[in-house]
Amino acid sequence: TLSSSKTSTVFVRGEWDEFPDMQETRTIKIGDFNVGIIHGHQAIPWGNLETLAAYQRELDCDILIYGHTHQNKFSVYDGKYFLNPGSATGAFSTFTKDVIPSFILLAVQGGNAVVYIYQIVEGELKVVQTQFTKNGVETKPEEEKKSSITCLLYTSEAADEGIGIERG
Amino acid sequence: FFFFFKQKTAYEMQRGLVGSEMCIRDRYYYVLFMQIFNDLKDLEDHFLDEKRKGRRMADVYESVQQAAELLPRLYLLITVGSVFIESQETSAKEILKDLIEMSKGIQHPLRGLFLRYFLLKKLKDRLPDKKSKFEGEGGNTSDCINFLLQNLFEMNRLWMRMQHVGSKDKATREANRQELNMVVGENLVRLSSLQGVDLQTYQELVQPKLFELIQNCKDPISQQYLMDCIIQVFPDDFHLQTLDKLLDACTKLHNSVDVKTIFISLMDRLANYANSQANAIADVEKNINIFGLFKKYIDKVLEEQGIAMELKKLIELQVAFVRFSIKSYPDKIEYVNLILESSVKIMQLQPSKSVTDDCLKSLVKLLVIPLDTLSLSIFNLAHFPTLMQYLTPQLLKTVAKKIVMAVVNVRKPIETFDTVQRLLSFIKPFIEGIAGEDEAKDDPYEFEENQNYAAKLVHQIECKDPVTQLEALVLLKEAFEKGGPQRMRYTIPSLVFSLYRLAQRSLKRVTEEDEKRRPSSDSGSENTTPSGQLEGPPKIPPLKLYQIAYQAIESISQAHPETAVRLYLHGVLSMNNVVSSGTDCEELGYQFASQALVLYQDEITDTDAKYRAITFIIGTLQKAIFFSFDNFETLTTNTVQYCAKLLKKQDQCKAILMCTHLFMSKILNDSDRVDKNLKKSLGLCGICKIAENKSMDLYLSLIHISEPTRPERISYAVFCLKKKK
Repeated sequence: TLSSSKTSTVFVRGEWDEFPDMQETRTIKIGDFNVGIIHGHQAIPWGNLETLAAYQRELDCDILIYGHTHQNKFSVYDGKYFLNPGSATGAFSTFTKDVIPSFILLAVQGGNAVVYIYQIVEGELKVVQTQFTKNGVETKPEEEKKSSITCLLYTSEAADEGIGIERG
Repeated sequence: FFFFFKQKTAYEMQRGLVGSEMCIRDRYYYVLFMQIFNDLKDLEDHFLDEKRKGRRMADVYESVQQAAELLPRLYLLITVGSVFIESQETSAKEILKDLIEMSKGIQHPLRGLFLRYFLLKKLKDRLPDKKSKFEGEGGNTSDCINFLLQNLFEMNRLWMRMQHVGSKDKATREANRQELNMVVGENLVRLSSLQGVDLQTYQELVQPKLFELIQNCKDPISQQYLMDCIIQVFPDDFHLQTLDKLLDACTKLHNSVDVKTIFISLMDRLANYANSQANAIADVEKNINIFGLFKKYIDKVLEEQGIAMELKKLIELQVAFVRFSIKSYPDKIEYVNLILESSVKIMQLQPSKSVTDDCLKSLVKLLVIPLDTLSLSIFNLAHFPTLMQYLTPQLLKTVAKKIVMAVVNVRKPIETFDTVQRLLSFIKPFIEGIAGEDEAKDDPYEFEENQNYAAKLVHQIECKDPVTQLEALVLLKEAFEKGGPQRMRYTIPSLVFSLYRLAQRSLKRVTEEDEKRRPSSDSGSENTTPSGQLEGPPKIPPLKLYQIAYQAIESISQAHPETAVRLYLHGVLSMNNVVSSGTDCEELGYQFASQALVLYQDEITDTDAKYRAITFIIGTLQKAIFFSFDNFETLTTNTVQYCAKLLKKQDQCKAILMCTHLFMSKILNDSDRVDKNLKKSLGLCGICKIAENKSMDLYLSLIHISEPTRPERISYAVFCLKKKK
C-alpha cells in the first residue's frame, strides 16, 4: 500500500482540505533538485502550463509537482520540469473525462532524476519512464556517488485532495 | 538384598499414603502421590534391570503380594505387573485382568482414584493394542477397550461417591471433586490414543458403551465432564460421522447439565474443523445432513429446557450455532434464516422483563456475525428486522453501523432500488441519529468516522439503469436530509458528486432543437460515438437531475457555505459536458453560478476563505463554455466587482488579474477589457503600500501570472515597472 513504505510525508492543501494550518505551497530539496509542490486549483486556468510556470518561478524550483486535473502528465517548460501524478484511485472529476488511476515514482540521485509513471489502463498496469537532469547538464562521474532517494507522488482523495510526496 | 532394601523404602513411603486420612486436602495427596510415583519409577527401573539379568518376573510378582498392607501392596504389584507385561513371560490381558480385579480392594474414593490413575499411567505403553508387541496371544484392542472401560466405570463410581463424603459443605465437596476430574478423564485419553480404535470400532464398541455409562450414572457433574471430554479427545471426524447419536445422547442428560456449553464447544470445534479442511463438511454431508441434525437437537433442547434456561444462555447457543453455520456453510443463507426464526420464537416466549443488557449484547452478536459473509443478502432474511425490534435504539445504531461497514468494505454494488430502500429501513438510526442524543458532541471522532462510512455508502449504489440510479440517489438524499446539518456536511457532497457522475455517464449534450444547429465542440456527432452512449433523447431529463443537486446543495448552504460554493461550482463544470446555451438547463446553470456568488457575498466572511472562494469561482467560469453572452457577462462583471472589494490589496490585485482570463474566453472575447483589467491590476500593484522588497515580489508575481494572457502584456508591465522604478 502506498502509505506503508514511507519515511516522511510532505503535503499541501487541496481543494477540499479544511485544516486551517495547511500550506498552499511547499518547497523541499531532493538531491540537487529544488522541488516545489502546489495542488493546482490556485493556478488558473487549471492545468495550464504557463500559469504553472509562473508558480515555478515564484517558488524558484527545478521541479514543480501539481495536481487537481486528475490527469497524469510530465511536461518541460523553459528547462524546468512539471509533474502531475494524476489520481491514485482514478477518482471522478467534473472537468476531466475518463480518469485513469495513476501515480508517479520519482527516483533522484544527485542531479539525475528518473520519473516512472504508473497507470492502470483497461485493467492492465503500464509504466512510462522518463529521465532528466538538473539544468540539462551531464553529470560528472564523481557526482554519481551521491545517495539515491525515491519519492512517491500521489493525489489522495481519501479524505480530501491534498497532494503528497512520500520519501521512501 | 538390595532388592529388599529398595522394597522396604518404597513400602515405607507408601505408609504415608495409607496414613493420609481424609482430613488432608486432596491437593497434598496429589503431591504425595507424585513423590511416590517418582520413587516407584526408580523401582521399576530396578526391576527392568533385574529382568535383563534373567530374573523371572513371575517370581517377583508372587513375592510382592506378600507385602502386609493392602495399598502399598497394590502399588508395588502394579509396578511389577507393568514390568511383567514388558517381559512378555505371560499374556498381557491376564495381568490386566488381575490388576484391575485387585484394585477393587480399595473402595476409599480418593485412594482408589489415585491408585487406578497410577494403574493407567504405569500401563500406558503396555497395552496389547493393535500393532503393539503385546498383541496376539497377549490380547488385542478389544481387551484394551474393555480394560479401560472397566477402569473408567470404577473410577467414575468412586468419583461420584466423593459427592457425599468429606467436608460438610456441599459446594466445597463439589469443588474438591472438580479438582480431580482430570484423573477420571485420563481413561478417555487412553481410549482415544489406542491405534486400534478406528471409526468403525468407535461406532460399534466404544461410543455406545460410553454413552451407556454416562447415562446410567445419572450424576450431573460426571455427565457434564465426561461428555465434554469425549468431544475433546476423539477426532472431529468421528463426531461428524456419529453426530446423530452424539447429539441424542446430549439431550438425554440430567436436567442440571449445561447442555448449551457442550453444544457450543462441539459446534466451535466442528466449525474450526470445517475451516481447516476444505471439503470436510461436504464429504460427510453426502450421507448426513449435519445442519439438520444440529437444528433438530438444538430445537429439542430449546423446547424442553427453554423455560428453565436463562434467556442469555439460549441466545448464546444460537450465536454459536450461527457462527458454526457461517463457517461450515458460507453460502447457505436459508440456514441463517432458520436460526433467526427459532431465535424469534425464543424472544417471543420470554417476558420482557427478563431481557437484560447481556441478552441484548448477545442478540447484537447474533445479528452481526452473518454480516461479513452475507453482506447485502441479509435483506433476504425475513427475521432479521423482527429481531432488530428487540434492541434499544443505541444497539440498533451499533448493528446499523456494522451493516453499513459490511456493505462498504465488501464493495459489492447495490443494484436495485428495492435493496436501497430495504437498506435504508435497516440503518435508519445510523443515518438519522437517535432522538435526544448529540452524537457529534459525545464522541467527535466516532461521529466523523460514522459519517464517512455513510458517505462511502453512496458510491456503492450502482444501478445499471440511469433512471433507477437517480431514484435511488433521491431516496438516499431524503434519508440524509433527516440526519441534520452536521451529518449533511459529510454526506451531501458525496451524494452531489454521485449525481454529477451520473450526469456524465448517462447524458449527452441536451438535444434541444436549437442545439442541433450548433456544431458540438466535442468530436463526432451524437449518433456515432464509439463508446456506445445513449442515442436519441436521454432517459433522464438533465434539468431534473441538476435540480435535485441544487436542492441538495441548498440544504447545506446556510450551515456550510464554503462547501456549498464549491458544490455549486462543480455543478457548473459538470454541466459543461451536457448543457447548451439557450436551454432551461443553461438558466439553471446560471442559478448555480449566481448562488455561488451570493453565498460568497453573504455567508463567507473570513478573508482567506473569501479569497479561496472567489478564485475558485474564477477558475470555474474560465472553463464554462455553455453560458449565453448576457449571462456570462453578468457573472463576470459581478465577479470582478467582488474581486475589487477584497480586503487585502494584494488579493485584489491577484484576483483581478485572474479575471483577465474571463475576458479572453470565447464567449466574451473582449480584448479591450483584457487591457483594462491588466492596467487595473498593475495599478493596484503600485498602490500596495508595503515594504520595498515585498512590493517587488508583488510586481514579479504580477508579471508571472500575467504571462499566460499575452506576452505583449508582460512587456507593457515591465515597461510600467521600469517607469515606476
